[in-house]
Amino acid sequence: MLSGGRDASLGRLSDIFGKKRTEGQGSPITDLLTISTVERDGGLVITAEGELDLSTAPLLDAAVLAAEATGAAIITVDIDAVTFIDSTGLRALIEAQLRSQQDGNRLRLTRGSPQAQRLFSLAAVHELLPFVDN
Amino acid sequence: MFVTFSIDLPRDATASQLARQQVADRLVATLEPPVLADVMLAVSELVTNALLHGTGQIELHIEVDDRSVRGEVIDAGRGLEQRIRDQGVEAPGLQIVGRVAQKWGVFQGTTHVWFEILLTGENPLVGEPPPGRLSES
Repeated sequence: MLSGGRDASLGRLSDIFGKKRTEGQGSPITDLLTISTVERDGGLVITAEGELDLSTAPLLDAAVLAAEATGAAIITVDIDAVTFIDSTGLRALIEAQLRSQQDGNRLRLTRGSPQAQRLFSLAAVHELLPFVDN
Repeated sequence: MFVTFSIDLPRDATASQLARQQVADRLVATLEPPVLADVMLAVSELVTNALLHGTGQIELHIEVDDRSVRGEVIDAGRGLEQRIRDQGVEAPGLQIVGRVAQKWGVFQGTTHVWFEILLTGENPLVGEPPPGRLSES
């Protein structure tokens, strides 16, 4: 499950480095979390779909770290298709924001599903995270 | 309305997802969606806690009656309760449980944590978590 997700993530990340991705390759991804990174308006958009927990947070970490290593002016993490997030997933987002604050404030975060917003409210982190409307 | 079940979870990274899936499958017809979402969150936090801090097999017990949902996550670990005594409730997961549940606690000398979400009355308040109650097992 995890390795499949990582492979998929790396496959999509190859877009950053300009490698051609063959359309229609492979079977649909059914992992717990899938991550894709695309370039948009000079920035990078990391889209996460699925569940963000202890087992999948490292996939998001890896994608955000890879994006940070580029010269992207803005890094947007789109979590609107994340159907479940717990404190372990939230921690990955907070750590990304702490890194961003030390490195040009490049991070942006979509507001997420009602479940994600409930967690942000419970954890009282609304002021901490760099939310943007999609 | 009355539902009780127990499941054994593997000590690996799939445990919290398996636990959430079981809770969703078994309680989707019983609980209102916002309550089910909170139960899934509390279960995910406690199973993650057991993975990070406990040892041995992880058990999840759920009891629903017309008053409340009570959940317990049990493993063979020790010391979670001691860490809470020493450091206060610092683990973010436990803080989240304290905010979705009206009551929660840790049995002494164990990694046996329980929570209770009431089905009647006010929704869980957002604010400071109540202190974890330490109970005799």
